[in-house]
Amino acid sequence: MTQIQAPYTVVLIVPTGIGAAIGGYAGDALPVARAIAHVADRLITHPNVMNGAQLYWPMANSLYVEGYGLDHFAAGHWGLRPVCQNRVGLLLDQAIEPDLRLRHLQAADAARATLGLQLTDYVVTDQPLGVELRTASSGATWGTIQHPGSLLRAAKKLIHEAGAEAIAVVARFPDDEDSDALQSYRHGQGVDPLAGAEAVISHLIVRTFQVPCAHAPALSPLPPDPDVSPRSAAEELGYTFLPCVLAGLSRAPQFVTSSQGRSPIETIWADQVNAVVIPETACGGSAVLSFSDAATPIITVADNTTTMNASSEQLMIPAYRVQSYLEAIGILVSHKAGISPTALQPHLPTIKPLN
Amino acid sequence: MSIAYGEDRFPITTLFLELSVSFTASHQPLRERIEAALKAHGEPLRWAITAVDLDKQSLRVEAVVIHDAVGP
Repeated sequence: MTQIQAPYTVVLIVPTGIGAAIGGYAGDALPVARAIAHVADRLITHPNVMNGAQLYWPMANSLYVEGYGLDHFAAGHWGLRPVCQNRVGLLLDQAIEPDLRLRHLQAADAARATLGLQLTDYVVTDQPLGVELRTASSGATWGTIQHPGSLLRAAKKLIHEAGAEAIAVVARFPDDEDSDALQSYRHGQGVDPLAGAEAVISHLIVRTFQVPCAHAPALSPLPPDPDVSPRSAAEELGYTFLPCVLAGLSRAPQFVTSSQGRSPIETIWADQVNAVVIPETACGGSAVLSFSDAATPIITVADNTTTMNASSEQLMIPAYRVQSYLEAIGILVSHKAGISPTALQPHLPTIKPLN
Repeated sequence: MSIAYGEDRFPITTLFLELSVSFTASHQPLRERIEAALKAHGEPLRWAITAVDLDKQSLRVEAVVIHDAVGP
């Protein structure tokens, strides 16, 4: 059947570092993304959803958008321009030991040879980035880096001298294999201890250069553990988490800022989004508030519990509140077909006069 | 091959903070109110409302902000 309506566009958000029951571990919201991408014409989502270390799943109708860029897209400040391929620049933290650096360079070469991805020459930061992890009172992980200037100097070199169109960052994260947080994470519980600092790193680059960016942590291999959760198992498969980042960035949309106007006809803007899917308790982020202000339909999923306590009901955000992603997908199918979800329920109240 | 590079400066620091923001009725969108509160501490980089206290009409916000004018 020939399509005569605008592409049905869904934004799927699972914020990182908040212990999401689905998507809080090793790319374990990817099955949700795959299912939504099957019923939507376009899916816009972010690295925390798509990255499963050595595992990933390219989808032609999906747009891989870093969180800072997603916030500005939702606010209407930036558009998304799909691309055929980006030249990806690899940025390595000086703190990565020689053997671990070699593993990452070989992952990059493998992506070039086996997947045909285009990478520029790489850059090593002029100082150790000094990643610092932090857990806030909410239970969310945040984190900062001691030398953001070194990170940005390296990114600038990749963009301006090597011609990189997207930046893959690998920062050395602290090994803390005996910590309770890491043990819980490997067992599919608690909050990803690294996630907050990862987001800060990629946000800094996207904010400064307006190019796609994603991050993979460099860590020493962990001893085998027979009790690793399936949700965390993707990060136990090899020496690096880089392959998914390179694959995602290779086709990540470029950002179009408002000052560049809306002339490129293929650019996607926030007012073309038909629905947003978000965990029920995590409605307090910038992107969801922007979409809510624009009256974009929002679907909240109760099953995907988090450490946040900011529901659509508490924030007085109108939303379809459902229990599961299976129900959310039902709402999307109904909405795309132009069928009111209430018509699919047994009790339909009579029409009333407007007061 | 790796690339050598020069002395471009990006004099910024990042700061984590937690604060409360009023949740009373307003014509100003909530996102703008939160970002305005954060801008008293720096440029908002990443933030979220982590809890809502309806009795006190208050929101708990966690954030990382940027200071641009400090040396690296």
